[in-house]
Amino acid sequence: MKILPPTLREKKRYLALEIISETRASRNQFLKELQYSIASLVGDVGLSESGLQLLYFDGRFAIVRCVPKKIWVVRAGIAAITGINKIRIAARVVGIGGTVRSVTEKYKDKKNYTSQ
Amino acid sequence: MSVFTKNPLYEIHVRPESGQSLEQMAVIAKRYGYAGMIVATNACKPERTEAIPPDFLLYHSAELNAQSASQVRKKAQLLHGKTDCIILRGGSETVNRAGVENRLIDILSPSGNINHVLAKLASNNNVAIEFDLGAIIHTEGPERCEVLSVYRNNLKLVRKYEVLFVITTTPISCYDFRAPREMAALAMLFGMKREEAVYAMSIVPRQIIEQRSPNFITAGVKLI
Repeated sequence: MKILPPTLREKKRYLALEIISETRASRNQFLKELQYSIASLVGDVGLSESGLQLLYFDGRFAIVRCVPKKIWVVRAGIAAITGINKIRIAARVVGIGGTVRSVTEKYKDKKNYTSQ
Repeated sequence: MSVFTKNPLYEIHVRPESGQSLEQMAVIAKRYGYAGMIVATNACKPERTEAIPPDFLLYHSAELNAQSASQVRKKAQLLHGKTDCIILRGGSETVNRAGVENRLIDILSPSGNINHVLAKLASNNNVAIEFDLGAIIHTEGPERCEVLSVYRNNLKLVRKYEVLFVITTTPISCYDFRAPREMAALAMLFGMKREEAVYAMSIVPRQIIEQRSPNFITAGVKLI
């Protein structure tokens, strides 16, 4: 079967997240918390519309995919994360890019995030 | 250049809980892109130590809790001139009213709805209304719904009467800070525009601090 042509695919943006936490959380825990946080903010409909996907997570840095139109909703959801199982955690978006590669190259392992 | 990098931004209502080091909070705030923060302590002014980044501005504010209108006036009079900024924790209608009537108060943090009378007075007396985004972050379900509807109502009045307004997350630890864009995203949940959020984080705090600086004489007149 032919693959879906690029023109018919959903547009996407990749958000680079920086995570500060007391102890390191696991990927599943973080994803669950992120989904829960967005769902409790904008509901299940909003969560499904955002096309959320966690592509990379290592405890300090994460890459999340979403639909360009829902970036600010996802951002609010990320800001609403306060803790995972009583462990305090805070995440913020350090940058947005059009491909996973550009986001990784630009923002991963960079101590100083000047541009966002 | 985005709107977020044009002006220096401030976190205006930091309340470090006991055991939290101010240095760590300052480092985090600086990293998030803030140019300064206003720390609310009831004791003396926060001390500058070496660990705090040198170009990070630190101001001091006093939080005022009052039960009655006369207490508001008395306490505000006592604190006047001793801090950079006075924040009144609102409560009942009479306390809020006394707060917005008093020119010594800089920021009113109302716990519920404000009305058109309060908004008009706040506008005349240059009292800023605080939107505590921490309440959105830390609550859930019906409580959050309530908070959002209160803020939506307050925002409507604030726009109509051109009242100054500020947004903050009232961080008590370094995990409660949110970066400026995240603040805007949270503020957008109750209808605030991005530009308004930036205005609330940059221009209004600047104005408040300038107003209380010892060189300030009256609007537009400053001792150089």
